[in-house]
Parts: sequence; structure tokens; C-alpha cells
Amino acid sequence: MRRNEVWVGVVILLSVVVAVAGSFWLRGYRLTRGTTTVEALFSGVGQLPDGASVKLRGVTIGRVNGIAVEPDGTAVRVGLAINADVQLPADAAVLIAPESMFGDWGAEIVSRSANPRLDFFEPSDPGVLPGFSIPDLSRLTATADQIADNLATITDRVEIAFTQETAENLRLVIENVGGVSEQLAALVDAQIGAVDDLVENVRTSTSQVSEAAALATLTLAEVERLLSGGVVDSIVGDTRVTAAEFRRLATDLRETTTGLSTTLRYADSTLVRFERIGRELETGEGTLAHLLADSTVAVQTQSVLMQLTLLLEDFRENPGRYVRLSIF
Amino acid sequence: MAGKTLDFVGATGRAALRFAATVGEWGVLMQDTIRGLRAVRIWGGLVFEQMMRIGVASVPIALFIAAFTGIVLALQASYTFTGAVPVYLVGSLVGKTMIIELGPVLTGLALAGRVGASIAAELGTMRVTEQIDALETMAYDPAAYLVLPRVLAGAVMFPAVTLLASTLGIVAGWLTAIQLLEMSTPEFVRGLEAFFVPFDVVFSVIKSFSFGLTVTSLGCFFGFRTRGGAAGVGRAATSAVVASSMVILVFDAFWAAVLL
Repeated sequence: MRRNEVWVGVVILLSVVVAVAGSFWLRGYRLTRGTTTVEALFSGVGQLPDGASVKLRGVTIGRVNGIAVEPDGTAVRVGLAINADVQLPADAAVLIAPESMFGDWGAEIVSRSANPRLDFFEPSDPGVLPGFSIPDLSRLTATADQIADNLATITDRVEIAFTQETAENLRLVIENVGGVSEQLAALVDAQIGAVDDLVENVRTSTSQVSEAAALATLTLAEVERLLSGGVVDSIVGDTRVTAAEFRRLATDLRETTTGLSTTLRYADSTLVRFERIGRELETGEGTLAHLLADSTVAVQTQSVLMQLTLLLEDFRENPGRYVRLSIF
Repeated sequence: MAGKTLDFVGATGRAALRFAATVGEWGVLMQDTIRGLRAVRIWGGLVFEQMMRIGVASVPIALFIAAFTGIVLALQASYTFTGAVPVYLVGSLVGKTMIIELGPVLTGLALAGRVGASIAAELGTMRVTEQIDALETMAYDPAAYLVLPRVLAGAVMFPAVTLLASTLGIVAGWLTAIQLLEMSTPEFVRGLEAFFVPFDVVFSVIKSFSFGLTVTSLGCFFGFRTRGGAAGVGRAATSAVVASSMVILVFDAFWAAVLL
């Protein structure tokens, strides 16, 4: 009898220990590390079960420990039992999402600043973490159904609005669009030719610019060489001397021009006199005209000139006859 | 034609009445058994012996069945979960199935065959050899002396054996997964944890508790109403096993509908 009691006790205790310890182990409770509880508020928790895993950067650090709707019904408060030695982010928030397509939901502690697009629930208590639940597949499917219904409604309305007149207008629009397209094509063809010319010109210009650049490079090199050799200084000095010469030449030229103007005035006056003499000659007035018109006068003049010549020769040969010098 | 129809209807009616009468007799026996709870002096010293015979002695066969069930579950799960289905669900399937379904049901069916038949044959033999009549003659409550220890032992030991069997089934599935299916222990444990809730264990205990009551009470009942000598004992044992198995499956569906 005593042996029976022992065996029965062993089986019962073993089964109880296995059941309790196994349950705690599968729920993630470990005796070796302490836990601390943080709370988060959500607008909804999807299919998150009590006891679901809590992860930080993909590593399980705890379990969901209690899910309850707030007394005012506006939010759901979720307790998270996490390892006490884990340091949470400064702006920690809790994200609830399916871990797979098979209904196993979990919570993950994330940095809120790293998820700016998520509309986290804003708790009034700063000690409570903000939470957000990602819509599950069924909710997305329901939304897709709603979108499909809306599309069906729109399709129906389009079908109603699409009458024969609309079709005719649409045909005309299509024809117009076709014409516009042809014109655009022609314009594009023309523009393509112009663009080709432009490209060719640009290419030529580029080539010339390249050559000019090369030449400029050579020139600059030469200039640099000249600068380094002191030739420029010499050229500048020569140029300065030449400029002074030019300045003096310009002064002389200005003076010459002034003299020339005087000469021209004299010439003009002389020509006037010559004109008057010419007129007198034509009219037969004056001495010269008389000389020309009367040969006697000319002969007498010639005789006077001859006598004058003889007189000068005699004066040169015999000056004493005409000049007497007496000093005392 | 009309006569055959009437015969069929009559046979159906007789079967229904016989079933109702049987249920009523079982109810009367259970009433006597509950009434016998007061006679602790009679059944108190017999419970541990019955626990030993019903529970401890059944552990090896229950563990054997559960171990191979776990192996088969893991292999069939890996065979089924291909393509987009993640492999860690092997752990989920093995754990969930062993805890809430196959552990309690297979253990219940196995013990229905072993324990139910044993009780029915033992009590049936006592009935045909008029030992139970002798107890009544000596003013000894046979329900308190024969039924109550067995029912109590079954009610306590079935859950214990089931929990051990479920645990071993999961361990066997885990060993199969890591040895034959190229799974890692973390993968298997992840699947095991993913869908586990503590109520699964409670559900398993409730089911196996009801199975224990069913198997032992029906074994006692069919043993008590044994008639006709050795052949009657055989029929009683067979009836106990068949009835226990059917009721186990009915209760299985009932608890699933009520508690899940």
C-alpha cells in the first residue's frame, strides 16, 4: 500500500509540475531574470493575445501581460512584462503587428522618431508608452472590398454618363488629338532639322573655341615667356618713345597745317589777283595788257631792258664812274 | 410492406427505450456512488490502489502512444507545410494538437480499452459469481466499495496521465523535428510558443477529467449489469470499451463546442 501511494504521488506531482512549468516556460517566464512592467495605450490591439511576445530590435524581451479596455472605452491598455535589464529607447513606442500571415501577433518596442508616419495613440500619462496597431489582413481586405464597391459605383455612373453623344464627342476629340499629333510630329521633324543644324554649329563652334583656346594657350605661353624674358619692358619703352615722337610729329603737323592754311589764303589771294590780271588782259586794261596788245611798247621795253643791261655791265666794269667814295 | 415498416418503427422505439433505460440505470448507479461519498471508511483505503492500477499502471502505454503520435505529427506536419507555410508551424501543430486534442483523446481511448475493459470484466465476474450480491447481503454499499474508488481514481489519474503523455508527445515531436526534419530547436520552440495559451492546459485537464469519469463509470456500470456467466463478462467488457470510446468522442466534440 505504501508503495502504491508513492507511485501515485510521483505520477500526480510529476504531471502537475510538467503542466505548470511547461505553461510558464511556453509563456516566456524565466526564473533567471527579473521583469519590469510597462504599459502602453492603443486605439485597438487587433488580434494580439495575452502572452504574445514583446520584441526589441527583433529580440524577444518579454510578454504581453494584460489587455484591458480603458473605462471610458476610448483606448486599450496593454501591459508589457519585459526583462528588467533591457534599456528601452528614449522615445519608445509600441507597435503591434502580425508576425506572420497565420495569426500570431506580437508587440515590438520601437523608436517613435524612426516611425514618423505611424499615428501612435497619445497617452496623457507620460509614463505610458504610445502605441499603434497595424491593420491586419482582414481589415485591409475589407478596405479593399470597400474600394472595389466604390469603383463599381463609379463605373455605373460612368456607364450612365457615357451616352451616344458623349461617344461622338469623344470620337471628335480623338480625331482632333490625332490631327494635333500629326502637327506635333511635323513640328518635331522640323525642329529636329533645326536642332541638327544647331548641333552642327555648336560642334563647329566648339571646335573653333577649342582651337582658339589652344591658340590662347600658346599665346599666353608666349606672353609668359616674354614677360619672363623682359622683352615686354623693352617694347613698352620703345612704344613710349615712339608715342612721344608721334606726339611731336602731330604738333609739327598741326603747325604745318596752320602754315598750309596761311599759304592757301595767300594762294587764294594770288589767284584772285591772277584772275583780275587775266580780266584786265582780256579787257586790254593795265600795263601788261598794253604790252601784250601794243608791240611798240614791247619793243621799247625790250630796248630799255637792253640799255639797262648795258648800263649794269658798265657799272660793274667801271664803278668809279658812277660812285665816288670819300672818307675824309 | 406496412408490416415491415411497423416492425422497423417498433424496433427503433424499443432501442430508444432500451437506451433511455440504460442511461437511467447508469444514472441510478451514479446517484448511489455520489451517495457513497459519505462512507469514506469504505472507499478511503481503496482509492490509492485503484489509482495505481488505473493511472500508474497505464502510464507506459499512454506514453508509448503519445510518443509515436508526436513523431507522426511532426513528420506529417513537415510533409504538409510546404511552400509559403513557415516551418516553425510544425512546433505549433505538434504542441497545440498534443495538448488540446490528441493527448487527451488518445489517452482516453487507450485507457478505455485497458481500464474500462478491466473494470467491466472484474466487476462482471464479481457480479456473475454473486460477490456483489454478497456485499449487499452484508449491508456493504457496493457502489461505495467498488465504484467510487475506481471513479475517483479515474477522475484524478486520467488528467495526470494525459499531461505526461502530452508532454512526451511534444518532446518526441521536437526530437523528430531537429533530428529528421532539419529544424532547429529555436524554430520549434517559436512555433510551440506562438499559439500557446494556458487555457489549453486547463482545457486538456477538463477533457481528460471527463474521460476518466466516463471510462471508469461505464466500466463499473457494464460490470454491474453483467448477466450470463463468462460470456456475459466478455460482452460487458466489450460494451464498456465501445460505449466509453463513443462517449469520449462525443465529449470531445462537446467540450470543443462549449469551451473553445
